Amino acid sequence: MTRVGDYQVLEPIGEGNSGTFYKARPPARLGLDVEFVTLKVMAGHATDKEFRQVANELRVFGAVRSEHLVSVYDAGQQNGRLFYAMGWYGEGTLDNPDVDPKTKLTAVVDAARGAHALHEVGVVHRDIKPSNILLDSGRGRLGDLGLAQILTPGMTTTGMGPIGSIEYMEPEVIWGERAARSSDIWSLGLTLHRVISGEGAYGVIPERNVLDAFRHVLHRRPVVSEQLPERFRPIVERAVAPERAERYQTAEEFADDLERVRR
Amino acid sequence: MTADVRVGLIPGDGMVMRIDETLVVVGRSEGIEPDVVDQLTRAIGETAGDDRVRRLARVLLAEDDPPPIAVATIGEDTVSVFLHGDVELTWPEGRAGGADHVLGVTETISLTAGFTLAAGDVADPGVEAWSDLGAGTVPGGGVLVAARDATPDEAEELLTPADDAPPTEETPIVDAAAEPPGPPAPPDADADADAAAETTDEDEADEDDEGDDEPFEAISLTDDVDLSDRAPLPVALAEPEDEDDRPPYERTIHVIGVYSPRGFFNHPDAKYCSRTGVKMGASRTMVLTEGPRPPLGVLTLDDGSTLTVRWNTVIGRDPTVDELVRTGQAAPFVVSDLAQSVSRRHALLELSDWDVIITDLGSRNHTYVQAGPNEPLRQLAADERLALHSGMIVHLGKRSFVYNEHHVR
Repeated sequence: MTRVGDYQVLEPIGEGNSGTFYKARPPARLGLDVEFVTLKVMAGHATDKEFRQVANELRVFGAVRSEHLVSVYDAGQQNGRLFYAMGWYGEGTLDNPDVDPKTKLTAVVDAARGAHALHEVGVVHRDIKPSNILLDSGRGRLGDLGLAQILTPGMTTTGMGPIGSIEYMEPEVIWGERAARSSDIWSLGLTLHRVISGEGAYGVIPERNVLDAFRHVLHRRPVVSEQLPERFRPIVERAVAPERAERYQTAEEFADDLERVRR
Repeated sequence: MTADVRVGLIPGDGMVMRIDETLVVVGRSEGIEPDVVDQLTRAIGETAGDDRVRRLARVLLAEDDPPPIAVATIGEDTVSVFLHGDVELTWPEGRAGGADHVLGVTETISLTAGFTLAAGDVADPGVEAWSDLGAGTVPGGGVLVAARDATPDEAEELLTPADDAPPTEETPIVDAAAEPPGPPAPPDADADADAAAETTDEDEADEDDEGDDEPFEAISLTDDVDLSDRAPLPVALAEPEDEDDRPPYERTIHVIGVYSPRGFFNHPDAKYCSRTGVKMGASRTMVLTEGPRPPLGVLTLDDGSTLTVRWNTVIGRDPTVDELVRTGQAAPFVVSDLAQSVSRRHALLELSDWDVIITDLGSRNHTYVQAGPNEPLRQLAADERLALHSGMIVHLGKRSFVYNEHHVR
């Protein structure tokens, strides 16, 4: 049986932008009333200081106690490897195109409300995309934060995870500006576009190397697909308006608008 | 190939690849997508050193049911090996197995006589054929790598498990009965093979034990944290941030350039707007004027991570030790490197007008530059200030990055 810290690791379930997710059994010391947790093991080695920074960020995330965010339980380090435990939902993510459209919409609205709750305590999520919105009994929960920026300040994108996730990144952030509410709002807009239309707003992003993907995204404006039902178009367009000031000012406004057109 | 070695193939139902100084042993070929070999080849082409090992491992671990993997990158006198799954590394001074580390394990060993890498289900770790295996992919279950100047005896010894593997303190064989039986010894097995099987079992038990005892530290994330003193993110984004709140290196620098039709500030010679790709050249845009300097380019590191170059930056393993970083004149950018071939403060990127200038900061392993992938390496002289151009490759120890300018000259 393989272990990370005192977790029993059962199987890998996927790669995120800064580490790998595993299904695991939690240790008794947590006193959790659940059989499984999602354990994220971060790539690379971290110093003690970095561990504390990550743990602090996650504690804030956990203290928000929103039903629209995944639960976080415990952060640890072993031999310089960081890991942290989150709720196990087991129903997949919005990355699955077969989720019924109603649930998709509900889940995007939920994720937007989760993002708003984070913004209200000064945290930008930085990693909103379909595969990071988890399904839980017909509702959505926004997954864990993009933590790479905490470990390597200044890093624009990590080399981990699929290059295609650049599709959801606000161009200002790629250009090196500070992440803001608008960064998550942009990602929510393109997430909505992807899950409802089934298409990306940038066409096919070259995945051969990071730079090509960068260029593709940086020198184009997202184009709303014909496949996106008309009533969602103004919402997506406002979320990804050319200037930050023209976008939704809060993720809550985005959620409210989306809730209004939901049928 | 950096080091001069001979490679012996150990039979098995996996595959063995060699490209340049990298050897990959994949423990089984069944169920592996055919394009994995292409992906591995490409990953090798785009990377070097430790990073290559990481990239290859990532390609293989992305498989639904990852096979046992060993990736060895042979340097001048050391070998860096990544093991994942049921695969074993043996060298004259010790052994390491990937089976009990869910994340895989990385070992760096010195290349004295050589080493073997073998998937766990290889019944007879004998060499089938000596080959130079200059490049390519062949079926196999492992490799024996012998330094070219190793004697035949030394080479043969590599196949024999080391007796003097470093002892672990208090290593009771825990729950040995629950362990899966080792590979059955062939009926006519000689003493060596028996010894091999035994040591394997012991080793597995040891590592299990070690895994449980490895110290770790945990912090609860469910405690109540007082959030009342945390300010919400600003809502009005149109308001420019107060410059005085930022470190000095972040302050806006004004340079001479031209505005694009949509109002983005560009290099005076730009033919196309670096931000929108729109052709420059309408009358208004041709006026040279002073404006805030935009980001000048992007570094793509060998592990695929990127850095947008906006301001003076010190690159290194721990750039916070640099005076410019301490005084807020330059941003730190961490390039991690377990092998410590990158110095704590290795190189400085300095923005001067529209150029990004690199200087070596007296690093131990120096800074090397290449005009492109097939161009010769050149060491930056002490105090040399070199302006970077698109496509240049910069090597810092075993790590490297490619620079690309945002504006088209």
